[in-house]
Amino acid sequence: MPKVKNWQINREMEYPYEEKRPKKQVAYVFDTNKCIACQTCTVACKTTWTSGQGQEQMFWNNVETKPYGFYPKAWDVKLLKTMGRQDWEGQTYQGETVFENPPAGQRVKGHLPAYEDYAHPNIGEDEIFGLIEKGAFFSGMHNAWMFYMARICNHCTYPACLAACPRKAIYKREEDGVVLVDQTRCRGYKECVKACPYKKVFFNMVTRTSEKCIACYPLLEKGEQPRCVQTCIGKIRLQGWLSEPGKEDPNNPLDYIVRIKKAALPLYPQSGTEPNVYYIPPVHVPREFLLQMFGAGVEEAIQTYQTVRSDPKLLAAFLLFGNTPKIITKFEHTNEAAIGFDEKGNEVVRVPFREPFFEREMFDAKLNVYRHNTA
Amino acid sequence: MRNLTSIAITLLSLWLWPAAGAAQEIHAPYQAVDGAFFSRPDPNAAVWQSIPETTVNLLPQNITQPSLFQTSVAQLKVKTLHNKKWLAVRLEWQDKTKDQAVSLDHASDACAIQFPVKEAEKTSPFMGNKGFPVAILHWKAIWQKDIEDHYQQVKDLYPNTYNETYRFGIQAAIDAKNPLSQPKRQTPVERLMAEGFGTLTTQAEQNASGWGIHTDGKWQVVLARPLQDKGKTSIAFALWEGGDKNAGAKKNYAPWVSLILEEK
Repeated sequence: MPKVKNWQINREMEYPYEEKRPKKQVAYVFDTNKCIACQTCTVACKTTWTSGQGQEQMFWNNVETKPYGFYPKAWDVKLLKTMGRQDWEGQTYQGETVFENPPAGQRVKGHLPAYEDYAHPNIGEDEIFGLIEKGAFFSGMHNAWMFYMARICNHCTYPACLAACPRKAIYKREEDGVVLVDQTRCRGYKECVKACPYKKVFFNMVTRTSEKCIACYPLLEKGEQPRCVQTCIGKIRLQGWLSEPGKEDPNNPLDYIVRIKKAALPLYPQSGTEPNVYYIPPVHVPREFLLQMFGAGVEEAIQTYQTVRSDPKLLAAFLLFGNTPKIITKFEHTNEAAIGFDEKGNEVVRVPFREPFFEREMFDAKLNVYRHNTA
Repeated sequence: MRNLTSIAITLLSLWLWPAAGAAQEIHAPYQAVDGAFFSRPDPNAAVWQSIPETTVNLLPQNITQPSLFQTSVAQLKVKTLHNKKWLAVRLEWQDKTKDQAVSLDHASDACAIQFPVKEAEKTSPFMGNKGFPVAILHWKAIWQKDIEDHYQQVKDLYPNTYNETYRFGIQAAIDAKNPLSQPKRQTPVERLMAEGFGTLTTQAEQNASGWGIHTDGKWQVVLARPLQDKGKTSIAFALWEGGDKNAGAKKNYAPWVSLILEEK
């Protein structure tokens, strides 16, 4: 089996195909600290792509409460169990990926969920970890925690779905790294559903084929960010292009946040698939849990995030989130604002560091009315 | 250890297939049946009673991945006949469960027969090889139900499913004319070609036919196609037991067996 380089686990690993990175890689940053689980992204995706027959329980985008929310049921608990021990030594992953040492007769370590595992997409919503001590409510701080995690297909550099398909019906686009199921070639063997560590390939029992997030490629192709990103009212998301490792551009917001400042981290990088949705970890969650979920860079990422006030360039990159439908390929900042540019170098968004402040008179003489809301 | 077992089974099966091919012959006698018989060939037609039956042993597919390590069905009973224009092959196997649904939790019962397009000796029984393709007829129980009953929907399996967004829905595979996603299927048998693992390809001309009956815990299925060979050819078999979630490469198979087309 060929050896490929996986920067997220800082080592070479086995993969059924040779390393071949796309010209640019579709990538996302999600700020978990800002997500309120309003599910606007979920509904935007659902109504756009998966409202047909056979897609009743299919959510290419979902938002689950961690640690007790799962869609499908227990997907990551089962993943962690399947993978065995997962030790990190420094930045290097010491355990096995899903491609290494799979069970006899299988291409990838995985599990096939049951139909009913998809029946409760919002199970565990708002459930906290731990009990709140009596009186803790009044003390101002308590140790119970939870956080919301929005999930879509990771458009992995080394997709497990692609590796598992016995008839090469799944492909990764050379031009942008989007991973797609060829709906003319798929014969519904469900090997991809079983293999995907993130359970983001779904089986459609009416078409009898597997379907997955297509990164809204019709939008990408005209320079716009996907529906789930555009509609996010919490402005937690940014979609852009990630450069090849070693060719990072500090003026590309994705490269800057993910590769240079390392403020956003891949989800379960130990899977070995090199997932391309990067999460800014929730600052209030125990580090052991975050280490398990986002790998060895957690401490550094949180520190960088919490000191963003002293880093105007990073702050500028964060301000680009959710402020334009256009894909930002380059950004810069002045003392006053963050500025985003599209592929052709046109300015597509300008966000002030400080929102303009307006003070209005208490009494509006023209309308003969008091402007206050405490009547 | 499991890998070693798999290699051992592989070697054993590779050693077995020329031997089995040499030892076993299936005879297809000529029968003066008219063309109408072949359009929906009846497994219980009287004509089958006089045809000799051959029992073929099946192996679990573990030459490629994903693999099967234990057969779901161990034996297959085969009868064949031709009328100089059409060839019909009747398969019978034990299967307590009639599986005609496909979902995340369900797989359909199915069977397939395979013929070499060129010399059988140079053609791999495992889906053919580069330059030596194989022609395949593939019958699925769900495809027959699509025709007998109607194109199987979610409500056929899960009657209480409720959804009010269907009017917006798209079904990409149906729009893309995927051969699996045919709301108006004409025949439960698909004609395919392959030139090695992962190359299975549907054919533009779909003129094969077939029909199956599930009774007393066994399937009896006839597959038929226009006759393309004369004298001697070879045939290979594959069976999928839906109850064991067999699908794709997870199948039971028998490599090449000689097929003698008798003049009379």
